[in-house]
Amino acid sequence: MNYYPKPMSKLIKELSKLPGIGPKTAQRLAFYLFESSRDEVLKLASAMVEAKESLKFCDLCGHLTQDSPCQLCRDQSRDQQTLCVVEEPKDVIALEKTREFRGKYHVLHGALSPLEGIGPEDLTISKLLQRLQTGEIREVILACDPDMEGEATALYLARIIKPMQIKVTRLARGLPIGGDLEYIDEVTLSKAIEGRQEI
Amino acid sequence: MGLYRSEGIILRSRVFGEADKIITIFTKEKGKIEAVARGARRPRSRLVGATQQFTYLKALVFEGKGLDQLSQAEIVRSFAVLRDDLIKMAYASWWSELLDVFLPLEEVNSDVFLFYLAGLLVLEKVQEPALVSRAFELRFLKYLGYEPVLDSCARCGRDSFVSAGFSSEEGGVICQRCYQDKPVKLIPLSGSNLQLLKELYQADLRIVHRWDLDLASEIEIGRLLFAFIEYRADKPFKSLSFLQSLLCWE
Ligand SMILES: [Zn+2]
Ligand SMILES: [Zn+2]
Repeated sequence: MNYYPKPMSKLIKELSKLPGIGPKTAQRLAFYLFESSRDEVLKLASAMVEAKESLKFCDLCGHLTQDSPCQLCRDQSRDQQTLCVVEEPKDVIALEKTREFRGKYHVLHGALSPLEGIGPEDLTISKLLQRLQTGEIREVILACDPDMEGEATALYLARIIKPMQIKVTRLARGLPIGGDLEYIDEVTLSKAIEGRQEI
Repeated sequence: MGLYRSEGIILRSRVFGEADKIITIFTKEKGKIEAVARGARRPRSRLVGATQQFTYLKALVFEGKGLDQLSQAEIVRSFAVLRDDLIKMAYASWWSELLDVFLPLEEVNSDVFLFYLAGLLVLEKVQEPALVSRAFELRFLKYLGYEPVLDSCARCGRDSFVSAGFSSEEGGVICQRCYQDKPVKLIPLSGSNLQLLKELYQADLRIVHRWDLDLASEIEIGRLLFAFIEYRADKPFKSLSFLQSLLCWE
């Protein structure tokens, strides 16, 4: 069944473990690497090892960083009273790109999942509560994904944070910019009606 | 090969690849099926809303060489309430996992389908779902043929007896005599809760939430059915640990 020399099939096998990479893409990438110069391949390999070895999660917010506390946590010019809770480090990046939010972050490293049995103790929720105990935070913005897991996480967090006299908000769910109303699905549309604003 | 139409309820939806989902639908016409919903994680996809957990949809499915593909979907009922309330979400997830674990793929079971649909409609409305869920669990066990024996001793068959407790291994209540003869691992079950279980079997799913239930009884019959179901499935249910962590039964 194996048509490739061993090192090649090993490379294809490793590449196809990456997210979004099927066997065909893995095979194409493997050939590409084989045809690249030795320098190029080494650069890629060392970039992977370096990223793996020098990056960690910030002890405070859980974001990806080289030094802890991370740059975002150290930045005193940011709004210290608003905390945005996200599921993954890549959500921090997405929100930073908007340049709209100037507060602090907290990364949960996942979402509650009733079906996968992922409970509060599997996320950084106790750390979040510790941060809220200092009394500095006035508003928590829940920026969880708009799927069932994100919904579960937001509902759970709102339930435990509200009694601490902290304002809890969540990102609006609604219409994509530039969309055509008639093509929007019913669920999104009904959430958009629920979250309508006065103009 | 080709296209087929079916209506069903989404039992689970898993991320797949960059922007796709694999959904498990419990359909009226074909039983439990799995299909890929291409692009269903892209905000602009027409499949976003219809592929949410617990959605009751009409689906047009393409049967290909590999996995079936959901090509069109129309929402019949979104069951949004079940995703907007943490406790209801936990119960609905538990029911979904129950069906997903016990029902084999592509085995038509329209009775269970209608019963599940009715259950979700009730769950949507009630404030306190504990007894609704117990009734649902019992009824579902009956459909599967795993109905626990409650009217007589599960070992000797005597119907006038003093119960010693419930045995998952023997599939029902065990009488004092049998227990003294040969002890087995028992789950505690008081006389009044045994009666409650028997009544739940017969009861209309829509009215049981009005019955009185103290926390101790809720915990006793809940633990019993959870243990029995996990014994029958021969594996722990992930959604149960989530549900129990919300219920604060400790
Ligand atoms: Zn940080
Ligand atoms: Zn007996």
